[in-house]
Amino acid sequence: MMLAVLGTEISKLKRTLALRMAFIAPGVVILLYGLVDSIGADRVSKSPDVWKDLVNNASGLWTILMLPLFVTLETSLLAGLEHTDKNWKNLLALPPPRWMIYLSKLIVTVLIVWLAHALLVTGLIGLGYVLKTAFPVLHITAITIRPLMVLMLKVSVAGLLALTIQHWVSLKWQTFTAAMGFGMSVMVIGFVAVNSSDWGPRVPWSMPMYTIRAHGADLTIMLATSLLAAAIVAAAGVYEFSRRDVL
Amino acid sequence: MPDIVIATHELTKRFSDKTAVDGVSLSVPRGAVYAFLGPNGAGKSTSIRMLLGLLRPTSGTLTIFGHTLATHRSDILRRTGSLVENPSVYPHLTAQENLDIPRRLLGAATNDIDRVLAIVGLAYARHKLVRQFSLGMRQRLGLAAALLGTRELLILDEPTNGLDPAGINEMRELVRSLPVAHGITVMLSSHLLGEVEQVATDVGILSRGRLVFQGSVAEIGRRRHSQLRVRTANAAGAVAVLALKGLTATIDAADVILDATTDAAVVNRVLVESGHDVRHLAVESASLEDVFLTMTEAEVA
Repeated sequence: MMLAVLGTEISKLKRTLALRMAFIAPGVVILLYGLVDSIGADRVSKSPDVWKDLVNNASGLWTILMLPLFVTLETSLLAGLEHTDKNWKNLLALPPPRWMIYLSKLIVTVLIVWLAHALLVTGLIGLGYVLKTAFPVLHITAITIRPLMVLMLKVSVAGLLALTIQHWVSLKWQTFTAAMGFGMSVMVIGFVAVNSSDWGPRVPWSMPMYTIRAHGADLTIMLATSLLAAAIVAAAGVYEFSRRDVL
Repeated sequence: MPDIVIATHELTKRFSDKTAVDGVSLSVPRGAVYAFLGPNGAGKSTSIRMLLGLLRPTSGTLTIFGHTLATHRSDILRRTGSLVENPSVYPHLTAQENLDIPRRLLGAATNDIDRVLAIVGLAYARHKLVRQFSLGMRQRLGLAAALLGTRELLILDEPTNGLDPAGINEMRELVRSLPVAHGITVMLSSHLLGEVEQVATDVGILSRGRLVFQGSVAEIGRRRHSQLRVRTANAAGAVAVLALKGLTATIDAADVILDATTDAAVVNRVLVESGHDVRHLAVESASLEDVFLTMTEAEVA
């Protein structure tokens, strides 16, 4: 039944802004750096490794600014599918248990974020080849894919805790503004915390940003913390959701 | 004793300081069209939400098909279709896509969508986005979703909300046909007795969270108060003449009112012989709506 629930959650994405945003958000980053590197090719070409700079800048912009905004927006839009028209009363009067519905919605949100990451990686590689071909002045020789993929995989795992918390908040409060307000507020906390080596790897909203500078054991502990804490938050969310009164 | 589909005992729901449902014991027989009546705010929707597991009762017990939601939730909800207040739909999906969601969750066949769309008369709009639907069309789509699969019980909360008179008639006919044609027990709530009295076999009346009446439509009919109404030019004089003959009468809106068991022929003869011309003489029964209002107003008082 879990697959059926997951399937229906995916089918609800049809024609939604939530699904379009998975393409638009990474597309904006790729377009931005495509314009920067093509229009300012002469200036950019002074760098010893244009491809490495492109990867660092684009993944940095994504991780620090776009990802927190994207997660906040996605969780709010996906929860809004049920909050609008009070669809909960229909959905939760159907046979699947509530835990299944909660987890399916969480999985769909994670899949959308990871889809955006995959599109960002694919788009950047594509942009690298376009720049290499169209702008020889940039001297892009080798387009190394592995560091970009490894970084985005780490960001994907590090972002799970913040995503799981935001998912709960979005399902809990019916108003779009409450979920967006919470997301924006904690994003600021993440910006501040990431500059601290004490708080950076511990605050859920700074973890994805901190991935860029974390190494070795610190990184492993942070990723493990994100995974474990996300599982605990998801379990707490399931418990609360299963007992919730649907008015 | 008839097979009971829904049975609640002292079902109660409190929200902080307000008791929305207060010790309600419902009994809905299999094959019935059970009208769950009460003024707005009486606790009908809260009770229905508890039946569907959307709200947790504060106290009391509840069984559907002889089982509790705690132990047989999935099985009960697979056999129970529902439409709670306004229809909930995904406006960005087509009618077919909307129905495909509950169909998959119920494990029903793909062509079941054709069947329910035909029942509610929406087959022509199956590929239309629901955001383009009128409220009546949405209501019918919600009903179609409630009919998907193999339902044995249908719980409809104010199903005629937003429907035009033709739509109300269609809904009425559909509800009436469900127990006969499909063996489905129907529980439907309304704040208007007149709206459901033509289709209901059983009635439960809720007022301020309490069940003030439960029984068959025939039983509620027996509670109708009847009276003999007589119209003459001089009501006070007529009352005095009738009193001399030992007949107790009162005056209502310039008419003379007697108990319905009084012999109308005797009343007519007494008045005519004493010079009071009788212009109107009839036995009147209170409508079911009046009985309903009397019950709910008595509870409020």
